Amino acid sequence: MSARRDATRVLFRIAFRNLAASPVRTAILGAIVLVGSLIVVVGSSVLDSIDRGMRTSIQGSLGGHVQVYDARSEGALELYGGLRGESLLEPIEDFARVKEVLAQVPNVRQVVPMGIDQAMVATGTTFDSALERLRDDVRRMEAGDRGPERLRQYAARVAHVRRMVGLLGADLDQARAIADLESREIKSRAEEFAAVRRAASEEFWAEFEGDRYAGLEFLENRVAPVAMENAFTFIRYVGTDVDAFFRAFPLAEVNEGERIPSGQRGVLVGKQFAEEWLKLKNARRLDQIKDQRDRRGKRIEEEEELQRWVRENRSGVKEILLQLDPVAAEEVAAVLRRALGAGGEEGLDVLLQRLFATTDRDFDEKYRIFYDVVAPRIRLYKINVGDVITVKAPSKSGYFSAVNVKVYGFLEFRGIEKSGIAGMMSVMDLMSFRDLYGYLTREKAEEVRRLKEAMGAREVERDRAEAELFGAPAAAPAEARSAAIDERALVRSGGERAAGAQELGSRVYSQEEIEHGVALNAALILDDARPRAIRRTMTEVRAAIEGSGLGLKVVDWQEASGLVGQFVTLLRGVLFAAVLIFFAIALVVINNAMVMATLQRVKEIGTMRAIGAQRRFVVAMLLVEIAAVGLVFGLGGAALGGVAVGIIRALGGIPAVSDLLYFVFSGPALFPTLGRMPVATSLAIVLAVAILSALYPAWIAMKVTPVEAMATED
Amino acid sequence: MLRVDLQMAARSLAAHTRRNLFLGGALAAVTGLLVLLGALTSGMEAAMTESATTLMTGHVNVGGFYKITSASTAPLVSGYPKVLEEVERRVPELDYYTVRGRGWAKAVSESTSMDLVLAGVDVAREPAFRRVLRIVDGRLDELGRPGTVLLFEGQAERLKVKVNDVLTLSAPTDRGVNNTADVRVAAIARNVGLLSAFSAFIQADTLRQLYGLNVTTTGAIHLYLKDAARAPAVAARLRAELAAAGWRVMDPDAQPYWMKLMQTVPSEDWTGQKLDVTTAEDEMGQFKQFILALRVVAALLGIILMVVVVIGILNTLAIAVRERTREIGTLRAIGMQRGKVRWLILLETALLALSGTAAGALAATAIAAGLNALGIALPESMQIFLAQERLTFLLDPAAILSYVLFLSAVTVVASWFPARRAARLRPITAMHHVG
Repeated sequence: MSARRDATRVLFRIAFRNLAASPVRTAILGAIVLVGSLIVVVGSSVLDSIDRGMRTSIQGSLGGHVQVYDARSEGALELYGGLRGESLLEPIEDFARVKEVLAQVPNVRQVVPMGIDQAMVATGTTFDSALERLRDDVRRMEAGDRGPERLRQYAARVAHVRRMVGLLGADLDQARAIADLESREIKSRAEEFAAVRRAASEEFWAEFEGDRYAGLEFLENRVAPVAMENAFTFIRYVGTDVDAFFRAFPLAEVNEGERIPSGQRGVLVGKQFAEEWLKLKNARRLDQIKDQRDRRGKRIEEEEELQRWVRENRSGVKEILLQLDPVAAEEVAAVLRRALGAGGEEGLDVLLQRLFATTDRDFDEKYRIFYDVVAPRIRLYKINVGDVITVKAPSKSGYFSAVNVKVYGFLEFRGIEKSGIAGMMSVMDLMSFRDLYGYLTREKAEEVRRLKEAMGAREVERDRAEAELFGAPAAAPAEARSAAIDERALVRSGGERAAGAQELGSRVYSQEEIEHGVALNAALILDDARPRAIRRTMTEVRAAIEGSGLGLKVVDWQEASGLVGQFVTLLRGVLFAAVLIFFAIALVVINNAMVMATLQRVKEIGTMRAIGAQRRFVVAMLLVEIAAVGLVFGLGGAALGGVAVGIIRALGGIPAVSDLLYFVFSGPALFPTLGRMPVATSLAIVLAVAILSALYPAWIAMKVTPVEAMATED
Repeated sequence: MLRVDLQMAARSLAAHTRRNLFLGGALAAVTGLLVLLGALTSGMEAAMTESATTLMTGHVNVGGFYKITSASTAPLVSGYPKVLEEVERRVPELDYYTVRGRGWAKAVSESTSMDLVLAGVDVAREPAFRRVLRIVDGRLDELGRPGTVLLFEGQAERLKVKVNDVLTLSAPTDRGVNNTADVRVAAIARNVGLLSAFSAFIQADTLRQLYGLNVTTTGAIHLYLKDAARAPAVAARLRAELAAAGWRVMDPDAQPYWMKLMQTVPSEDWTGQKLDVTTAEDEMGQFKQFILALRVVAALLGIILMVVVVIGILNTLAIAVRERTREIGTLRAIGMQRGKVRWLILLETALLALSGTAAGALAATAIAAGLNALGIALPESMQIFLAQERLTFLLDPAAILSYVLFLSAVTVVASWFPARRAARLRPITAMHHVG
């Protein structure tokens, strides 16, 4: 026993002496091992953190742990949208059955119905909101409020609307330069042009005082639709059982406003979407500058992008000016004059330009002034909490359907607020989704087909097909509301819209009504969400589906995430390939170095053999040498990797420079963490490569015979 | 004399087959790897640039925005014939130009719908179309007829339409009202990556009518130069000269037009027409960034490989010289000079390096050609970034030659030290050497 220990001690001593004797060689070997282990440690810790971020983002925002959708679907489910639009899914006709079957599977905590789609939203124009305010004044006056303050206000609002009508006239002239005056459309709009001309005339406003409601109606119905402004936007939404959705996705929270009340229709608009697409551009740019300054430590003086934003803000004040009636404009101007220390003669346009001409010195002050003074008096977002909006989408059968829903609040996913992928998502109630989706059950479709045949389907215009054929959507036949609507309905004044939605908006649907009907896919939330448990549950879910003949496809959250998931797989593939190539080369190089070293020591090895060292001893000696180098420098590399990770964290993480990265990192920056696993794996890999590459030289050493070796003279 | 030296070098190489195969193989592998990496990046870049400059942008574009009100924006150039006249006079570098309408619409088929970015084209005046677009069904000339569109395979598949089927285009205008037009599918072309995901071509007049625009209004004028590298200079000059000639011209902003259309221009105060002169580089900004990232990764990988390989070569050559110490000693003993020994070893290395790298380059070329011929489809996430559907390697002979020569040179330089060491050996020690 002790002899063996002695031998081992000698073995180690010789091995370490050898390493110390040729420092250059040891350094070369060590450097290779060090770099290799550094790459593995940092790379795998970054990838691990990305994995974690992705999992948080997807599981917490939309994906759940497992997704099911109809197996007959042509496309695959892509929760975050595909290259050519939304996934082409066949609908699940009766979600309640799916829920009934899948809820029985052990480990399944919740089954959440979903339908993801895009829709167009009418946002209303500045002109619309000016008219709305005027109508409000008129209503109060007609109700008997004729105080001087009211009259002053009314006069200001009339002046505001008249100014806008005047501008509209100028706009129309502007349009002439590019419009095809011979086209069908322009001819049909001759009436509209006439209406604008009338609204701009003195007579019209003289008459207006006589019958204000009639005047307002004319303005709302005949003039407002002519206003050329981006009066619509697109939202991407998920129609779902809202209560179940919030239970299932803990990251989701309402940032402003409230949740959609149980069983009611409504929509929660994605906060990030609202910031990017619905907010007044100048305010948005101020936010962006603030964000860059506060979070990234950027300075306006140094960053070209920030300078561009300031420039754009200065040259974009008209949108604010147009929204202010003379009274409000004077109020704002007075405050700004004081705050900016300007002379009494400067107009509001100049004052606003001065307000937006921000520098690093006065940015915070001006930012505050904007939000304290200007923002409360203007429409900061095109859609506000409490508005009723018209949402319109091409339905399954090609015609457009529309619903009116109330905006209950803005939706945010905690931790990934700024992600353009999750944050763009809005949540809508399932009933409204079904109306927009306009799916016909098989019996209904068959009936339509027969009707079509009877009538000669080609003669029915697609836009009107539904209205002519049955006049009501299949999903909710009681409410004939999503029938093909006149295009104009989208730009109708707010008052009219609100009236239409009121009855439906306040209706409370029972859980049964919500669940018995169409959904496109369903998210399963599991109790135990470890990868292995997910796989096991997926097998069980498949079996349950098989048993009940539901015909559903089962995918895990990563597959359901579509392109986003593929991107991370790609990233992992690139890193893996890089590491593989590196180690392949390292293998060759270490091998070479060891062969070299062995040949150099042929004589020495021969001597050792001559004085009684066994072949095993020689081989063990070489392996101990390389293992020692591997271990020491591998650990060193891992430690360096740890330091690198620490430095990355200390410098504020790897910044998410794009929306995709924001989502992938599940936050504004990636903070890689050093897991025990990456360190252990990297050490194991490095040691394996090192020992593997020492095998050939060990074999050479083994074949050295004492006689041959001792004959050599070096 | 050289012939004898070469013979000797070749004989020594042949004598140590295993070791030389080892080193030669390593050199070949690295050369092959570098060639493949390079061919992949330039393949991507070439495919991207060619399809983009034909389908999406010219070398230089004279586009612009028309704002009817300060709150609205349309990507239009009004009175374009006059602009065109001016441009033709001012740009002698011009090879040819095309006039493109710019639009956006929802395409609705019998079964489904999707969003399409529409480019209005006059197909008779698009000389490069035939080269870049691979028509799989229908005829390109048909696109010259009013009321026709050209779709890419992926779009046709999604919409489930074939040639001669009818689609309804529904284009939202600033008033929130949709203008619609029924169009016939004239031809279906093979996908070209991200560019073909959502952009399609429509006969120019049809697009104009969809938006109710007059004949003198279009989306942009794409200019193709005889020398694409002149684009930035031409764009800068054109910007100044158009402004001097009385047009309102926007400040340079290296972003694609649709970003400006959606993000910046709608909130600007001005109304009426402004021209915007951009280069292909501006319009393709995001793709270019990706290519740059790819190149950086490839270069980094290349450098790490190089360093490791140079260390390996040094080592292997040292072994080689060692193994032949006795032989060198003998040569010296029978009268060979030190310089000659050094020269022989360098020559030998050079031979080995050249044949190794050449073999690697050849193998890589064969692999690349094979993969090109196989036409391996890329997964969709790769397609987005690479702007191509299939794995394509572009083999540039000059680049390959430079890899071969560079690696050979590195190897020869690396062999200098062992060669010097061998030359310094005393014949007597060398002849006693075992190894």
